[in-house]
Amino acid sequence: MEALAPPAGAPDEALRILAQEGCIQCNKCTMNCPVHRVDVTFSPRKTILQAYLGGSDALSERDLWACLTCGECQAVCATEVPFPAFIRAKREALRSVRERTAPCKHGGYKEILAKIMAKPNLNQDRRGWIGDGLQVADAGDVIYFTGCMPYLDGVFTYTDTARIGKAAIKVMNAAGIVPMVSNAERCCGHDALWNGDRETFETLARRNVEWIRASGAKRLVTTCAECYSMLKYEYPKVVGDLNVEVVHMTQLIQELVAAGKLAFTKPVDLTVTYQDPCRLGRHSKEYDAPRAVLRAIPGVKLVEMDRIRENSMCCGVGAYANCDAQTKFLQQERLEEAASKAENLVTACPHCRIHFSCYLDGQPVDPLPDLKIIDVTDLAAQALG
Amino acid sequence: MTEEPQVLTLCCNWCGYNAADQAGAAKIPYSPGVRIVRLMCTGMADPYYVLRAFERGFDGVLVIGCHPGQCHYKSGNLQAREQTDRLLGVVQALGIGAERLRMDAASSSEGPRFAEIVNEFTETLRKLGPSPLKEVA
Amino acid sequence: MTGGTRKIGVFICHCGGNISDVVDVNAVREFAAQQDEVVASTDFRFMCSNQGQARLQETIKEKGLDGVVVACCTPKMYEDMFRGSAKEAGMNPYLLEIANVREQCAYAHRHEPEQATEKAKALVAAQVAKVRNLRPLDVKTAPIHDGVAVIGAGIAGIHAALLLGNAGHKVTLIEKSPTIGGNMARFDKTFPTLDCAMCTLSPKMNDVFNHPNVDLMTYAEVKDAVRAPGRFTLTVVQKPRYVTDACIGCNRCTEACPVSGPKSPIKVESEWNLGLSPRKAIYLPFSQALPQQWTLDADHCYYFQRNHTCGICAKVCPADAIDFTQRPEEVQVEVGAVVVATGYRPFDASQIPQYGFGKYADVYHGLQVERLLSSTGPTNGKLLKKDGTPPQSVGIIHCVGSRDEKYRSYCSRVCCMASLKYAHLIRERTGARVYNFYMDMRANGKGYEEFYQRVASEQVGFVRGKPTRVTDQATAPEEEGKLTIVVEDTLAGVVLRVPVDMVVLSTAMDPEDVDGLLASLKLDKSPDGFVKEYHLKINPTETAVKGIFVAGCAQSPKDITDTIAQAGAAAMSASMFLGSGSMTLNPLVAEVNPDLCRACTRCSEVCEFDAVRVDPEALVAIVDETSCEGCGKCTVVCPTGAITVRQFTKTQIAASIDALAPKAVAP
Repeated sequence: MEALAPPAGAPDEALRILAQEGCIQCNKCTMNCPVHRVDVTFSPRKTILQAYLGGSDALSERDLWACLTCGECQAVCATEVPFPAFIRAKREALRSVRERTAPCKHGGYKEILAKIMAKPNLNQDRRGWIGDGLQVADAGDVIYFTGCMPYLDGVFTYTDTARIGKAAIKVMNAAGIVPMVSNAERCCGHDALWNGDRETFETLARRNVEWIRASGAKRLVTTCAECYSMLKYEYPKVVGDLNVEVVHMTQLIQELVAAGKLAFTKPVDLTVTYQDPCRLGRHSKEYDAPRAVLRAIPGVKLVEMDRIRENSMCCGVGAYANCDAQTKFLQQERLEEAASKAENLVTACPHCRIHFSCYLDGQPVDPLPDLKIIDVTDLAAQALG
Repeated sequence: MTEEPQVLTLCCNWCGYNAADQAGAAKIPYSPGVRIVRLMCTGMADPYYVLRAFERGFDGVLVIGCHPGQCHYKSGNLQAREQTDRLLGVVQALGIGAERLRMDAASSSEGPRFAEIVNEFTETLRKLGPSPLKEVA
Repeated sequence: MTGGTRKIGVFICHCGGNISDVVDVNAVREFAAQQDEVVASTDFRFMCSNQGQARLQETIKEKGLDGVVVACCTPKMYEDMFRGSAKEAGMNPYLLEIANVREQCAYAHRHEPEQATEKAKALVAAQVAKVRNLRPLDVKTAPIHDGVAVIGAGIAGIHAALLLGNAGHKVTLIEKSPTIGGNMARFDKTFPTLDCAMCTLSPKMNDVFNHPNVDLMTYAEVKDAVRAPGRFTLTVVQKPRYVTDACIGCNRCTEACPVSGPKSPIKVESEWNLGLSPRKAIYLPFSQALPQQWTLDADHCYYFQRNHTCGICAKVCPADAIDFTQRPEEVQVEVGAVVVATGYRPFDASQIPQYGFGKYADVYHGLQVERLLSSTGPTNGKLLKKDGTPPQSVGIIHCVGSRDEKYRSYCSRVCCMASLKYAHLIRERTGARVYNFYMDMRANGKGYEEFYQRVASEQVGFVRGKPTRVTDQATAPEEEGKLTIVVEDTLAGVVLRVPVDMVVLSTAMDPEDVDGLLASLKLDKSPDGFVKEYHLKINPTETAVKGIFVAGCAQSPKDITDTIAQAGAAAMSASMFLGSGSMTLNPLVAEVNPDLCRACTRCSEVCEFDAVRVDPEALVAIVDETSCEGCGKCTVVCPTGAITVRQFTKTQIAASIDALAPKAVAP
């Protein structure tokens, strides 16, 4: 049996999380679960029921890692049962005993990067991607937190992720902000936390908070939805107040445009549709800022998909935990939906962009029209002229 | 006992590994810090292995395959070269230092060349000192 | 540390002192005994001896081992043997790994015994860690189809087909021309013995034609090949001859055919005589062609080209063998092995305009001269200029296209000897003065140097130098009406102008144009354009594709002697392969976890062996274990980790790396 027992004697933390809210077994979670659509045996409702009846150990290792932790279930739940948090706790319980049996390949790459960045004596040179013409500083009021971005192009050859960072700096520079980009920065720890490696997450959080607090900066900007959700909501739980205001790049742009500090002068004639990243949307409840940015860019025509905001569908991979045979069907489904609305799919998370681009770089299940995956910050930079 | 630089050496089965055997058989000395893992081809040398080795405290990683054009599997060594080149940027950015990762080639008969490669690399690592990722006791 | 459930045995070999004089085997044994899941740790003087093997087997049985590490010499020595012993003792052989403590410890660090011992511990720990993560593997076999296809019926293909047929294999010999025989059938004599070429070839042609085990397909080309374990399915296109096998070979059709007649607007040259003579639309390439079945060339036939206005061949045919309704037919041929013997064609000498080929009437390439010298050739064996008179002087230029970076950088290997043969035959037949213009004289075969000496004594001129040009522009009276060869005699250091009546270009050998065939068979070419062999030195008859062999000039330029030798070797290799009945599939190859596969095709894109493809219906990558070589390139590009190479998975390798890492060996 591959059932997952918590360490002997340990309280079932996962069950406690689950029991906070009472599940009424209405099955809305399962009916809205993307994983359930491609694998009918995966059922949040059933898992919750089994947990209530006999503890949470009946969850198989396969199901444990199949969950995208996208939160669609929780978003539609009448009692808001925190299923993703339950899964996370179960993953922590497993990882306190052993490694997972077969981590996905890229998951392994990102995992080892995070572990390296958790080391004490790190002397990174993480600004090599910035290039000429962009201004960054060693100190300042605004921190641009780049996360794992400087390392992604080393393995994800089909996306130029550094492009997002360059765009962000360009936009900030245009608004008179010379952001601090620190070599002391570490991975935000998102994947570690969501894959059950709390130790690495907390180490990374502590190491990041140390330099963030010491910097004296007032604000911290991220272009990544995952970094945002970590720094804004998860870090304070572990390390207390960061002493900076954490904002997502789209929030910053929205604010700068409203204050007249940033003007988009060059039309970008594109029809786009918008993918709400789970970590920015359902996890952080930020649905409006990215849309506001898109509306502020002249020429951009935003055509919404049917499933948006709280009902948005996941890009198919959460925390690099679970890219597998079923993922392709989810990605096909979502990209078909996007392609039916626009030629460009805009998102506000580099990882959504990577996962969708990965799918398009390979061979789609069915032919897809030529669809471009663009980060919202990239579009904003293009509109600067 | 002075601490020798610890080198993870990923050798392909056909050239690098045989060259190491040749170096041994010819009793050509090289640093005992050189630790060899046999792969069938450098083409299977996943970036993960390189990063894992650094994470575990190796001072350097060497990838030794067949000479270009001589790969037992036609082009595995070329793919490994591309992978390694891409990884050099990552290793540099991480502050480990690109000098600590190297790919080279030694044919199955080139024992002396194998020893030369590992000795030269070990010497470079000795000058660089221990890897910054090495846990201090 | 938690205790595991595996039972691993570690065996440390002294190698009679080779290891134990440097490495402290007692310390390694004790270290090994403390490793997780190690239930037996022992050392022995010679693990490779009978006693050593017996101890290994006894311990496996006694302790019920499901994992073994032998710390000894390189796995290249005895890994197979130890695995065999383990298997005999009832353990899955793929649960055994070697820790190479001789070459990598005792030998390399013999002056640092302490460090050598520490490293030996680390290597043992690494292999124990790997073994802990290994799982038993089944060795699969696939039956091999008993048929063999030989592609190309020149001397290489004929010889290979005959040997394979004699060995009892069912052979399909596929030739794209209307006749078998290949280039050799065009030759007059063969060096160095000056045997009549057809006298040696013709009996072989007849043998293969009549061989009960050889199924001959002429005027047929392989269009596609599909590979499955132990089997190739070739799609062969049988081109229409428009002449059925009722043909009795009376030649009336050819005589009646108007094509290439004096007043005929449709003219066509004989491919067989390399453009030196016209041919009819319906023809037999040469008198000894096999099969003796005429062929109608629809591209140059009035019936096909002029709206059915002719058809005289059908009228005169007494056997009613003309069938204008024939169409190309596709035939599926199933075989277990393929011998590629597609041969060569002469380098196109007109690519070197300064030698005047195609410009001056009496400049010929070597194969044309073979036809001019042949009694079945256009001049019935008389060497004549285009004007019908015999030449008074002939210049033979070596290395035309060969050993020339602008054209073919390789040496074509036969031209020196062929040129000497032309020199000899021309002198013998016409008494003309003959000059050889050579770069280096390469006479490196049995009887070749002797032949060179013989020709050299026949008042043949030799000029060491590569001619710069051939010209009809006379600068002196003796050059009037002649072709003048301009050359620097590099031995004398003077520029010569040599007027001759006829110029022979000893052209390079080019591989026959078989790109389509090679692509469908998934064969590679070497940089020189010839079929790439498995290993140039030690395996020149096999290819990277299991079951496909190569012989003759398809692989590299070679003379008939070498062609015969290689064809024999290829036939032997193919016969052994077929005779094994089934192929053992190397289990250390890629496998796909369908639960993880995204069907993204990245694996199939990087695979050099066409061993993995994505099934468009099942949407999953499928590995052909007969083709997979286990290199693992695919494992690095797979985004999900769905494809792995057995015994080289990420978990297994990472376990070794962790065990070798510095902190793991710290005391």
